[in-house]
Amino acid sequence: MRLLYIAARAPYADDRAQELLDTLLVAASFGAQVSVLFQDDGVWQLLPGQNGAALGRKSLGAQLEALPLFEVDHIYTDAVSLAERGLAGNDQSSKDLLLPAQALDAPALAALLAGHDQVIRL
Amino acid sequence: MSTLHILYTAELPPALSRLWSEGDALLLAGAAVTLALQPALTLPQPCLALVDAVQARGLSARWPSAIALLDAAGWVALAVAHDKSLSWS
Repeated sequence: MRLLYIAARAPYADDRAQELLDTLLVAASFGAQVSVLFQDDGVWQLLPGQNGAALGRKSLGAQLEALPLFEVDHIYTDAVSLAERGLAGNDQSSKDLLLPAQALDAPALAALLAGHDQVIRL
Repeated sequence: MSTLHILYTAELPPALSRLWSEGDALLLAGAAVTLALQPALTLPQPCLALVDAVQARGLSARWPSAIALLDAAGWVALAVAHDKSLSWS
């Protein structure tokens, strides 16, 4: 079972970003094949230097950095969502994001969705 | 691998078109049914809507005939006809 999680919400505004990550980690810890796509305001979750303690919250960024430890290595971003927000993504010349994530254009996004059995977007 | 996109918001997310593939379908649910009445908006096709959401909002009289209305059983059949569902909320 290949699961695709789409993180589409800004961090800290509500609980959706944290809840998506929690469900993703549960699935990964049970051995599911998990991919995660950061799209729309969800790309803000990938900014380095987060300090959730300033809001009395856990830092989402610090938890996301642990994804490779849970063998979640299929991490993607929507290239349009990055560009709309002035983020460069992770290429050789820049490191705007806290995780290595592959930026996908529209055809690649459609192919990504088509290649998974279930999808959850929060 | 077709996807049934279930939209609950009163706005059409631009990201939906980037995740759309041939064979996909769009189901308008909840507040999304008002999108069908916006003349300037082109919705992805095929597009269907939940009849409860349309009737609850008093939209039946002006409903466009091109968008089929589904009851709960029709929703189940539509979901089964696709490989997976993606909820946009």
